[in-house]
Amino acid sequence: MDDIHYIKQCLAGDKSAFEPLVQTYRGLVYSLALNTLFKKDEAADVTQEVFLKVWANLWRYNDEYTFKAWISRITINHCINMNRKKKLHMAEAEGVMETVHAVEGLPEKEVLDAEQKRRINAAVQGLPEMYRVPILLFHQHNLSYEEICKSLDLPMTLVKNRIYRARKILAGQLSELQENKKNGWGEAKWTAQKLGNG
Amino acid sequence: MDCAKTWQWMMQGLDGTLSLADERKMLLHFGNCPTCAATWKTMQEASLFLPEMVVEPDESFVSTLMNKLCDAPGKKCENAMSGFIVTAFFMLLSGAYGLGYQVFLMNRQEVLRFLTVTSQTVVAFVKGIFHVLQFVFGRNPEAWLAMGMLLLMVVLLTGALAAVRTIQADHTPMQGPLEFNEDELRERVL
Repeated sequence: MDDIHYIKQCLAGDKSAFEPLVQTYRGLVYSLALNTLFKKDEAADVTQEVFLKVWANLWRYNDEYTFKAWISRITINHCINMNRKKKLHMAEAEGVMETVHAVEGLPEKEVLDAEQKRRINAAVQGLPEMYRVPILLFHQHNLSYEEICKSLDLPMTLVKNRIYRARKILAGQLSELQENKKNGWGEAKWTAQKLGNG
Repeated sequence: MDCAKTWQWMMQGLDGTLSLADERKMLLHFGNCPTCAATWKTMQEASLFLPEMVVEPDESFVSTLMNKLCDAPGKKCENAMSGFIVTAFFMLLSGAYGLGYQVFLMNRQEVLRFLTVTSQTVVAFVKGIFHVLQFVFGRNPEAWLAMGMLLLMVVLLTGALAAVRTIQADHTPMQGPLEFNEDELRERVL
């Protein structure tokens, strides 16, 4: 069933219809919050606050937006406000390894995948926020360009430009990392240097 | 074939808009350019792995959240209610203040202040109406608008009428002090 159906049920007073929406979008909200705030506990708090906000403002939901774009926009705005309040300008290293899974006892292919995921994650975390958020919305959460424009309240040209630049930076960083790995330069040292420069 | 053109194709490939003909040309280029081939492999891996890297909050998250929701959407629970009460209180206070002027201070000099208070009352009233409409009509903006306009007109007319009465009262000639005939009064009372 689609989101609109659940939203209509919610607006008719059926509280339980909100649960499927939470189940579907909790990953999106939590991941976006974590990739913006870098702290698990803060991301969990924001996730809860966002869903409470969505519930309270569900009657304001406009069909022009997809629900995914609408909830992304609420999450991003909430995170921006939180960062503003805290005056957080620097990404903290904590939480960067959030998505890394334990590699012990896994088959070789999965170990290699986990390694690659860790590299990709580190490279994404190293992107400036203006590039990180659009690329995550596109590649991680599968939002279209139009949906990203609405989520970030930016024109299409700017969104396309940011995603383009993010990919360019990402490709450069990942290639550099591969080269360093071949040359025996430690990944930890590379990450530390990147974060230090950032 | 240059690498810059291939980069454009790679971008289109990641967007899912690359044509078959261009894809063939891109693959041909990869045969001659290991750097571009490696970049494409890396970008494809990133594109593939990123959706798998979505993290979710704890298992208990959904049940905790569902318990915190108030009964109907569109209500900010206690916050909305307290906001409404504060607005209503402000509205009543302003209204009473305005009426106080009308009843007790009917001088021309006070008309301006009276109108100020009336306008404050109107603003407060409109805010109150907005909240009431939120509760009653939910998402139907036409119903809001119609009811809001109607109530606004009533409030404005009342305010204007009160102001006119105040000014008219100011023009009423003052009556002198009452004179009593003690004998007549005694007869009536007894």
